[in-house]
Amino acid sequence: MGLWGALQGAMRTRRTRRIGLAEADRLVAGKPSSPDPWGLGVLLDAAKAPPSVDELAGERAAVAGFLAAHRKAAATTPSKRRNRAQLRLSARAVALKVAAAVTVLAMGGTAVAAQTGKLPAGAQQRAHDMLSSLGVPAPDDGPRPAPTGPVRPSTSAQPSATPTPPTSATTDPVALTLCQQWDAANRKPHGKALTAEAKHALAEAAGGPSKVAEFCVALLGNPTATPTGPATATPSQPGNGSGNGKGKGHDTTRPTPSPQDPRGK
Amino acid sequence: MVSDDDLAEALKAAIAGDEAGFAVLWRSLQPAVLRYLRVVVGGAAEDVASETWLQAARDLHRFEGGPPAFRGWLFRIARHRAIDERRRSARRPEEPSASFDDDTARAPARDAASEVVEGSDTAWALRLIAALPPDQAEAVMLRVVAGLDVAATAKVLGKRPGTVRVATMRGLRRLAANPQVQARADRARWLGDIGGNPVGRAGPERV
Repeated sequence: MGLWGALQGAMRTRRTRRIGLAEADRLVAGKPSSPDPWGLGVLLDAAKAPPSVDELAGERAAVAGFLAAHRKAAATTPSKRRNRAQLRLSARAVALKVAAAVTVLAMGGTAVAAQTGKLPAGAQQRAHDMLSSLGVPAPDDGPRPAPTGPVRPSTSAQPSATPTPPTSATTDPVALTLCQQWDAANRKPHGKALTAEAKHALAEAAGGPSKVAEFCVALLGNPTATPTGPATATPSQPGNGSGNGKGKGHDTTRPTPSPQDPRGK
Repeated sequence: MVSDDDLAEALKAAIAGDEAGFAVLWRSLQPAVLRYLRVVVGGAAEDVASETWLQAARDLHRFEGGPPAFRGWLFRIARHRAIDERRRSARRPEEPSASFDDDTARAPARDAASEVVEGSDTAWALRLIAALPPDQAEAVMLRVVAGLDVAATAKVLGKRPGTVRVATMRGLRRLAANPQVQARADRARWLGDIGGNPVGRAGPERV
């Protein structure tokens, strides 16, 4: 029966009967009317075979993205709304600020990096969460990447007692880098565009593609409030000064390094 | 495959913000999303799949309906993100394009990656399906792999149900005529008959 059946199968109506609409529906449903004279079962089974381990490798990142998105969707607290309102800028203002930010950028990354803590705490945290989960493949057993980085405004280490709220936590260096790329791409529309992932990560961190400009302007700093002195820009020393005094209307060109900052000198 | 009942629970939980519920949705649908996208955008599939889920996560609180509707909704997002990706890659001429029609251009790269990644049989099948005309490839993937019915597929593709059925049929015909498909089917048939362990889909009259 076996061999004979196989021969019959092989010689059967292959391509003598065309697949019709009804037969196509049955094949799709996995129930062909006859024992698959077209040999499609092997192919279709392979196409919908159980998932491999690799196909399910991105679960952690996906869940992290979900949590971040959900937090954002649930964020309708009054303070958040106020922050949103503060951030709402006209397109013109954004353009101006971007142009100014370019100037600051040209002076060196650190000056800009130090311009942090301007985002609402939620946005900062979101930026970090999103970007670290997207930009950095999480190790299987490792904890979520901690917000380490050279640009961590230390709220306790500011002798000038600035009114920086302690909640305006840390800035993710990844977010900053992305914003800088975004900014560079804006300057040269025909130059190198952001990668899809970068664009997406930015949009996610900012709360939508249309908010990227606001987000990056806020992250890169509000240049209108920036002292014009470029003295704080020391690219080789990212921790220098921790950005205190920036944007607070101080006239000092170089803030006193905090005594508790081991990197300050 | 998770049953629709279990999915319904997970869906409800995910809409309420529960990460475990979302994880169940992801695990049960990500493979199909990824395979669909492999056929549609080739090497960019994983990125586009991530984008798809992120958008789904963002918009989930607005979603209403059960698992079948969710499936269609998710694949609609996936398709839109895939279209965006194709536009992006068209604007990036310096990078190897993952254009929909250009199967020969993207096949080698995907070969190397996905043969290792997901087992050669699945990769082989997806490659053959990706070589179909785009409308047929999409119809076959959404019907067979995503498990959408004709109406849902038509909605995802923005076409009439009749068009979807015809595209599916033509795609299957083309696949059936492929010598590789026939060779594998013959091998499976022989092995199945000799081993008494039919591979493929043996109907009742076969016994």
